[in-house]
Amino acid sequence: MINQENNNRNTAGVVPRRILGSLLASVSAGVVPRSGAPYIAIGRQDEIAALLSDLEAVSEGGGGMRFLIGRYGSGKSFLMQLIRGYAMERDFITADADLSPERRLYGSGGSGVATYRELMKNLASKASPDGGALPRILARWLSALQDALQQEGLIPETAAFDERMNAQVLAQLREVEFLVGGFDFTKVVTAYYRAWRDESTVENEEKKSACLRWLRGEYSTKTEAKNTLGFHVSTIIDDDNWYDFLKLWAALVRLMGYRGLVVFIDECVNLYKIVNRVSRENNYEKILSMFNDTLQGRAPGLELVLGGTPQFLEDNRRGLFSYEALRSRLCDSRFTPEGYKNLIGPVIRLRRLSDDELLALIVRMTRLYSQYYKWDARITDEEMQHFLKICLSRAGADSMITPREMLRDYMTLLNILLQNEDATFASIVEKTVTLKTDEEEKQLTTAATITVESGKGGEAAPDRPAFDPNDIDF
Amino acid sequence: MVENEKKGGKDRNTPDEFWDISDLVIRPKQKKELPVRRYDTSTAEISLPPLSQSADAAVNHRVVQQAADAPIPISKADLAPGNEENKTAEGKRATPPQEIPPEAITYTPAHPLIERVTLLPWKTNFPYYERFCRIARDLFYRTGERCEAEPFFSYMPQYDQMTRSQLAWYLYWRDEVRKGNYLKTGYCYIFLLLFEIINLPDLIPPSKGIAMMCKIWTQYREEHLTLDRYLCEWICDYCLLHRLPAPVEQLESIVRDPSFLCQLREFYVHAGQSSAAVDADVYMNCCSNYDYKKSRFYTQNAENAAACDRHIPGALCRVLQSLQTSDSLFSQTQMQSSTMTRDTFVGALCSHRVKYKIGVRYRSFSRSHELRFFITDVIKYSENKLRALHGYKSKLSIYALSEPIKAILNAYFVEAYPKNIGKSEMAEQRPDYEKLYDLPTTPMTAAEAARIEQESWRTTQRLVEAFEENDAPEITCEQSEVHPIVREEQPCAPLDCEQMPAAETPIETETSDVLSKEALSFLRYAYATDAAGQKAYCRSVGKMPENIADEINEYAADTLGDILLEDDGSGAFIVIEDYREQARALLERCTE
Repeated sequence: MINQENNNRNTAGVVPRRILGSLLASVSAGVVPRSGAPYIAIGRQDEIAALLSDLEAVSEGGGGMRFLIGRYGSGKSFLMQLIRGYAMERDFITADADLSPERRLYGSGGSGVATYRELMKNLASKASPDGGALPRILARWLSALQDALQQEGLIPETAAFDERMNAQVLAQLREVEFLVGGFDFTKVVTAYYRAWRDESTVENEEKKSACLRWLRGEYSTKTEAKNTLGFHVSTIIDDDNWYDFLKLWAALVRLMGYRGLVVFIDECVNLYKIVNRVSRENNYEKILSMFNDTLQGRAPGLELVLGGTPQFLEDNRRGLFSYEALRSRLCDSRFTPEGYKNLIGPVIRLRRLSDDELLALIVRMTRLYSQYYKWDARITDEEMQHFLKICLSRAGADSMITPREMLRDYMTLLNILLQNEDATFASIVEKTVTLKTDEEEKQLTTAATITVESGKGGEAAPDRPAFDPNDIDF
Repeated sequence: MVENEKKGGKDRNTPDEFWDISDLVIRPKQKKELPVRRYDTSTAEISLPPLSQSADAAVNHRVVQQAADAPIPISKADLAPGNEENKTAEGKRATPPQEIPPEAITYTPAHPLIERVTLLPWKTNFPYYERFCRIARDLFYRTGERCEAEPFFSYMPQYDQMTRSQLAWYLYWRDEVRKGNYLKTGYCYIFLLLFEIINLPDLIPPSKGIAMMCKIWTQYREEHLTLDRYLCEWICDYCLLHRLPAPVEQLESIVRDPSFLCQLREFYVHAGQSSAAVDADVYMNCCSNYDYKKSRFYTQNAENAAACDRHIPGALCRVLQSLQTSDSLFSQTQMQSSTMTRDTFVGALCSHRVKYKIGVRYRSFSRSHELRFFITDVIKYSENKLRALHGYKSKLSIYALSEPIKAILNAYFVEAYPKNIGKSEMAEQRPDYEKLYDLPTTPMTAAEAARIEQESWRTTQRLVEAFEENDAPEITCEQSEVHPIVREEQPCAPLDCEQMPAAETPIETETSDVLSKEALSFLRYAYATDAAGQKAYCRSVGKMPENIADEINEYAADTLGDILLEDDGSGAFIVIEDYREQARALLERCTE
């Protein structure tokens, strides 16, 4: 039944080919796809709806912060990419970074500002979804201002035009000047504008590049910044103040006409892993200030999404709950009964996909694979179910199975079927898996019991191995 | 002429007075030599006569009571000139300490950690405490009558500093101690008795002396903490001097105390008398780099502390028992030798007869890193087991512990926690919050999967659908001018499957309305891969290439579902290879 629908859809359903190719390549490699994620979004309707409502609030000038918490492979990163793509599509600017031992929210030796640099590197917009959007955002903003002046009848490259343009730029930037670091930020953006406006010379190109370096937080000293920029700045972006500049960006992108800035920070479990207690708590304090800022309206247009494992959030000794100020803000209310969802709160807990959802995912992948290769996959509904049963019968799979591993195996299976016309699902699976059917298993168990009993009587027991799920090997 | 020469020659050889200038030279005044006074700073002994036998006989309880506060009198007879003993007492200078040639005595004790002991007599035979020794001998057999305790204080307690009532109490108290009845008393009396034991080895046999010292220490240490400071060293000296084994059995409670400190800690370890339990405590105190009592697990609650106090020494004891003797432990771990030189009975009143320099060659705990790491690892491994049993996930790191030792420790904890072990290990694996992430088990059904897959298309549709005009926020004047496509976007292709356009469907025909002229011209240059033309065109229209490329890409993202142009790395833009066909169709349509 599924397959019939599948075939029908194959004829009608379309995903852009380049996106589909990238999607299948990512899934085969076991990494979260950066494009095309919506096409394999199975389940999670409520969670997605909650995050989308946050984006609505941000586009109206609010702020927000969410913690996506789930075990490894539960779909945190996938959900982030999903929302990232959606946000870019809707004129949000997005930035994403994975934390690591070298990239933290707070830390001396450049580990704090390293996160900011990564975010700036991955700054993305609809027109540059793969990151590196910083110069384009500025160019678009300045071009927009120019176009507006042209509409007013002013002729470019005249003194009056330049004067009005300068006034427009300064007027817009003045709105962010009052924020922390806003004065220097304004100064550098203005310098960028002047270099952009003037004739394209080597000096101006270098100045533009220097301004972008400052905006990306790539200067380690003020002297270095001054020498390259050619004017004095009272501050540079460093470990202590990078979050203030993130707020500045959120304000500026709204001035530029975007809906807001959405920041995704994944692998927050790296903060939980910090051995030094003081250092760990400093990072948690940074999270606390982010939480307070976004939810108290002090960071308009900024949405923060943090992803981490249950230990990162709930471990009372080293997780966020070890920090009382965060625990009291993030823990479940006493009136939250077990088994009920509450997606209005800041924490979204992700369970692994149910068996039915995993089967639906297999069906969807078969469909997309068929579309991309223009090939009718030789695999039946029963075989898809059989495949999933094999995956679920592995030891510990009930809690440990991840769509990533399962899909990787499934893509391999489809690849073999595609490239070998004589291959069938049964022949591939039988060669690699020694799974017994329920009846066979029952017979085997009975035989093993008889063997043990007969062994007690002193008779020689036949040498038959008992079933062990660990024997299943792909 | 000859005469003249002779005359002249004579004159030249003998200078006349004119040339003598010695009277004219000022001579420095000669200092008068002062008579030098030489002081004899050598030590002199001024000894008081001992109490005479007759006087001793006359002393009784009544007399002592009457002259309670009077100092001990010195009889005239004692000061008589004929008395040999009083020759020094008449004010005659005492004989200075004579240097005696050191005759070292070396022996090897039956101790697993002490390899050699060298006794070197004190180089001078100082006579300061001879009088004390004499009085001590005189009073040794004296017994006291029952009397009231008298307070007594001295920095170096001696008999002649006591009043009669104090002496009476001391004699009475000492009698009681000898009988095994340890009455409450001041610590100066205790030290006096200890001095007796130290200085009178001929009257108090060392085997008896060491027993008395140990008994006194154990009985009075709670009341007088000062004893700990001195007695650990004095007992060690006493044993080394008289070749006695370490009294570990008598001092078991003290040696096992973590606060026990001694310069030569190794002396108190396993002298062949202690049990494995005592050794375990001593090793934990003296030969470990880790104090489990300072761990967070220990201090967190009383239950953990009780478990640690009970099972960590127990586990170490089991390991020591399994190694049968500590000798085998020492032979298994390489121990570094060290040498220590110590003066006997430092801080005690001690005559030159028992004053020695003792050289000890021993196997040192502090220098034997292998043994220290072994003991440390056993303790940490035991604590890790306890942590696991109590549901704690964190573990202490272990340097290197052999598998047989781990097996011994595992067996110990299986015995210690026979029922809880499975449950606790489960608790360690799964904290309470994990259940929030568990999935309710439901059987897999194909129909349900099909329904989910169908519904998921709606989510997909919502996520990929184009930005509709109704949902658009209010756009500023500048925005609307710059991005006309925002207002005129078409619904994206892959929505509900039935509505999806085919993959090869060209871009919408209304292109010229939504893409600016500049964008279309720019696209032509990009399609032709003409980087120079692109730049020249952008300069001519006064726009940045990135800006025009963004306009085209945003349009393509809305209609095609993907961007059309990409940066070739040199600042120019090219059409993505997959979409060249669509770009060509778009340009052709616009040309028409």
